[in-house]
Amino acid sequence: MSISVNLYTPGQSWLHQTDPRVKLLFVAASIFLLILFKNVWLLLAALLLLHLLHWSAGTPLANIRFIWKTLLPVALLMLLLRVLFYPVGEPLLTVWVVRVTTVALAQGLVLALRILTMALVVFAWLYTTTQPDLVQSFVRLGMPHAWGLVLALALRYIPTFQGTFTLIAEAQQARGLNVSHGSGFQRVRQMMPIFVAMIISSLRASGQLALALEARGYGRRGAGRTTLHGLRFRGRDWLLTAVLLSLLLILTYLNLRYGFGSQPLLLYPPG
Amino acid sequence: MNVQRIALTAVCIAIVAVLVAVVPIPIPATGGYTHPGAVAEIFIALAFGPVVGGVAAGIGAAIADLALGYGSFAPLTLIAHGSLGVLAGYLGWKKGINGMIIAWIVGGLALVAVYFLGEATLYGYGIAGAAAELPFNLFQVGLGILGLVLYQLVRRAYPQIDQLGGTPSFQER
Amino acid sequence: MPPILALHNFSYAYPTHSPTAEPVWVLDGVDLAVQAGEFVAIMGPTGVGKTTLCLALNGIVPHSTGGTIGGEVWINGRNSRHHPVAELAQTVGLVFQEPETQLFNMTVEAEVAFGLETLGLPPAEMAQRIAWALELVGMGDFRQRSPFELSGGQKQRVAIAAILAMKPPVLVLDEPTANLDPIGKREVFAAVETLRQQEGITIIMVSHESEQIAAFADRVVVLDNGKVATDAPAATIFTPPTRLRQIGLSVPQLSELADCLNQRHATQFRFTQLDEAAQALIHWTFTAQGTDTPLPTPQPKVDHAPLLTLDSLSYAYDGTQAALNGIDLTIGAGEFVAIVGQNGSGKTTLVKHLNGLLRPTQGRVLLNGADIAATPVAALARTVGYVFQNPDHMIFSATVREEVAAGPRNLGLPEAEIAARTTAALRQFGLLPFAETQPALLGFGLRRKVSIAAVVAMQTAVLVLDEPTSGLDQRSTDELMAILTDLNRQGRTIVLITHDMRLVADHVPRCVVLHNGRLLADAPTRHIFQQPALLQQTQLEPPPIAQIGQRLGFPALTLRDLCA
Repeated sequence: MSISVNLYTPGQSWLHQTDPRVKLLFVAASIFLLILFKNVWLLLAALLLLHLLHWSAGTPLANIRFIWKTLLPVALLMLLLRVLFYPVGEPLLTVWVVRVTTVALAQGLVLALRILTMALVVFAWLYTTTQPDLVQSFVRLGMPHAWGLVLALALRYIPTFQGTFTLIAEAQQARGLNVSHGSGFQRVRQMMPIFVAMIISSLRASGQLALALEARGYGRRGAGRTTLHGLRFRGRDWLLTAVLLSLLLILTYLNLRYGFGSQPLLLYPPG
Repeated sequence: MNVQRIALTAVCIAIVAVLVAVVPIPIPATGGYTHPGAVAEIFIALAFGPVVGGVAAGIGAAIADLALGYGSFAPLTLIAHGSLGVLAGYLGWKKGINGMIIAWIVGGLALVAVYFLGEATLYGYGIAGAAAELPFNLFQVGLGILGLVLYQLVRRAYPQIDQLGGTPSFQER
Repeated sequence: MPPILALHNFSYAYPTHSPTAEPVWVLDGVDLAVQAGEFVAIMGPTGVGKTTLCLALNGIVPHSTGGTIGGEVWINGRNSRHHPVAELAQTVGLVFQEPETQLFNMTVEAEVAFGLETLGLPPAEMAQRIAWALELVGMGDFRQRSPFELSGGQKQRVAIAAILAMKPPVLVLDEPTANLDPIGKREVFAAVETLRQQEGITIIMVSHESEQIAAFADRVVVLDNGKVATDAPAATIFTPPTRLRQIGLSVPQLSELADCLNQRHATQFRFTQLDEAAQALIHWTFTAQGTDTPLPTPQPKVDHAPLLTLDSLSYAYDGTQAALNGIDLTIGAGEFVAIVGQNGSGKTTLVKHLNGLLRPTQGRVLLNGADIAATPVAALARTVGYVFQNPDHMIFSATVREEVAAGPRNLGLPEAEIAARTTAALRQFGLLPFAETQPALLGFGLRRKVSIAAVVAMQTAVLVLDEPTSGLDQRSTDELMAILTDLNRQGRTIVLITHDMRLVADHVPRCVVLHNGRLLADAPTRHIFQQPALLQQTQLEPPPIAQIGQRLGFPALTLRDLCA
C-alpha cells in the first residue's frame, strides 16, 4: 500500500496562479459556510459549483473520481443513519418498520453533501498549490518560520519513510518474521520489530538532518531570511479576496438575519 | 526552537503519517481495517512530551487523512489526534508506568471524545451517527497501549533517545 | 601564511549515557594544520573518529553534540569554541555521506537556495550563485527536478552545490562516495577536482578510496587511536604500503604491486600511473625476466547441482518500465557468485526474487526445482538468508546477542540450538565482546557485522548479501571476505552484490553482469575482466592488475598473478 502526500497537480490554470493565501481564505470561508448552511438545494448548488471550479482548474478526472470513491461510502452511511434514527416530520414511505420522512432524507442529504463539498474545497486548494508555496503561505500569515520548516520537512520525508518502512518490513520478513497472521493487538505485536527498527532509523535520520540544516547555516542570527521565489499578492488576488469576503459577509448576514438556508428543504423559514 | 528539535518534530510527523496511512491492521471478527497510528502517537508523546507529541499526532494524522482522500475530516482529525498527543505527552512524559498508563487512557479518551463531539455537532451526524463510530475509534486508541511497549523496546535498544530534543551544552576537559 | 584550519591538541568525547561514566575520547590530542588551497585526504579505520573530526571543523562538535572538549580548533583565525555553528558554516562547508538526509527540499533549485535564504541574500544574487554552483558541479540542467529522482552521484553533486553556493573557502566532505556506484564516484571526484582547479577551494575529504586519493589529493592524514598516525604527501604515503596496511586501510593496487615485486625481485619500482606501471613491466619482463612470466593456474571446473533457477524472469514495478527483462540464471549449490552493474541495473530487484520479497511479473523462480511462487517469504527465510544493504533496517534488539538470536528464534528452533548458533555466529564475527551491548549504539562497521551475523546464524543454504562492504575499511572488508569464503567452503551458496571490482577479482569465482535490467554476461570472473568492450558498455572498471594484464596480454586478475 502506498500513498502520495504530494497532491499538487502541475498546471497553469487561474487557480494555480492565485496566491495560496487567497486559497487558504477560500478554504476557511467555505468550510464555515458549508457548516452554517443546512439547505439541501444550496449544498447541491455548491457541489455543482465546486465541480465547475475543479474543471476550470484543470483537475484530472481521475482525481475527482478518487474523491468520490473514497467519500461516497461515508456519505451514504451518514444519509442512512440519519434516515434510520431521526424520522422527524411526515413519513414519505414506510419500509417494514422504518419510516422514511422527507425531512430526515433532506437532512441526511445535507450531511452527505457537506462531506463531499468540504473535500472538494480542500482538494481544490491542495491540487493547485505546490508544497513550498503552501508552507510559505502559512509562514507569511504569521506561522513562525521554524514551524513552517517543520511542516516542509515532514512533507518531504513522508515518501522517504514509506520506502524505509517497506524495506524494514522486508528485512524482518527475510529473517523469518511472520507478519501476515492474526489481527488487532496480535498483529501489532508481531510488527513490533519493524516499528522499533523504523523508529531508530528515523531518529538517526533526524540527527543527520539536523546536521545538514546546520551545515547550511540554519539558526543564524542577524539579518533576516530572504526567499528566492517570494509570494506576490497581485491585483486579482486583492479582487478575489474582496469577492470572497463580501460573499462570506452577505451569506452569513442572510443566514443569521433571515434564516436563509437554515431549513433542510425551504430556502427561507416559513413566515 | 533549535535545529535538533525542528528535525525531530518533522521526523515524528512523518512517522505518524506513514503508520496511519500505509499500515493496515485487521480488526478482529469484522473484516474491517484500522491502523497503528495511536501506537506511534503514544510512543512519541511519552518519549518527547506534549509539544512534539501533539504536533506529530495532529499534523501527521491530518496529512494522512488528506492523502487518503478524507479531506473533509482532516480538520477534526487534527484536533482529535492532536489532543491525544498533547494530553498523553503532558501526563506521561518522563513519568513512571502508572503515569504512562494514565496518559494513554486520558489521551485515548480525548481522541474518542473529540471525534464523537465533532461528528455529532459540526458534521451533523447526531448522537446516534457519532455513536456508530465509537467502537472503531475505541479500538484504534486501544491499540495505543502498545505504544507503551514500543517506548520500552526503543529505550532498551536505543538509550540515546532520552537525550534527543534537548539543548546540548559542552564542557571542558 | 597562517593555516586556514588548525587543530591544536584537540580532544573530544561524546556525552556519556550516565553521569558517572568516564568519557570515551574519540579524538585524543589531534594536531593538524591545513593551508588554503590544499586537498587533504583523511583516512582511518572505521569508527576512528573521522566523522567527529569533520563535525569539529565547523563547530557542530561540540556546540550541537555536547560532550567534553580539550584543545582548540581554529577556523580562519576563530576559536570554534566561541563562535556559533551558523557563523562558522560560512567558512567551512560540510557535505555528508548520506545524500538522502542532506537533501531536504522539493527541487534542486530550492535545495541550493536554502543556504542562501538563510544568509539573507537578495533574490538576484541568489539566482546568480545558484546558476554558478550548479554549473560547477555539472548539474545546471537539473534545476527544476526533484532531488528524489536523481542518481546517487547526482544527489551528491547537488549536495556539494548547495554548500558551494554559500561560498565557503573550505569544503569538508565526509565519505561522499561511500554509497555510490562506480559512475557516481567518478562524477563526484571529477566535480571536486573542478572546484579546486577553477575556484581554488580548500578541500578536506574523508575517504576509503585509495586509488582516487592517490590520484587527486595533495596530502593524506591518517587517523588511528584518536590521533594523527601519519601525515604525508599523497605521492609518498602509499609506498611502501606496509604502514597503512597495518592500520587496516586500503592501499592502491599499483603500490601493492610495486611493493610485492620489489620484495621478491629486489627491484626499485614505484608506480602511481597505470600506463607507467604497464610500460615498466613490459620492459622488465622482457629484459630481466625473459619469458618467465607467471601464468595463472586455471580453475578446476566443478559441477554444481542447480539450487536456484531464474527462468526467463521479468519484473516491472507497478506501471513502470521493466526493471528486469528476461533473466535466465542458474545458481548451483555451493557456488559463490558476484552480481555487478551500476545502480539501477536491477541487482537488488533480482536478488529480492530469490527469497520471494518480489514475485516475478513474468517467468518463474525455482528452488531445488520447485516453483516458489506460493511460498511465503517467512518460509523461504529457512533456505535463503538475505542481508540488507543498510544494517539499520535490520537492527531492533536491546543486545547484540538478542539481535543475532532473533532470526533462529523466528525459525522456531529449540532454545539450546538458538543459543548455540548465536554464540557461534558471534564468535565468527568477533562480536562476543559486544554481546551484551545495544547494537544500535555500535559504530557503523560493527552494526554491519551484527546485521550479517544475524543472518548467518540462521544457517541458511543460501546467503545473499547486498553491498556488505560499502563504507567498511580494508581490514573489515578482508575479515568479512574471509568469513564468506570460509562459509562457502563449508558448502553454503553465496550471492554477493557489490560495486567493488577488486573484491570480485580477489574473492569471487563467478561474476554476473547486469545492465539496464538485462543479464549482459555470466562467466568466470577472470573471463569477465578480460572483456574491455563489455566492461566499457557497463562503465565498470576492472581493477588495475586486470588492466595491466590486458596490456601485457595475459589474463591477470589478482596481485598474485603478476607477482607470484
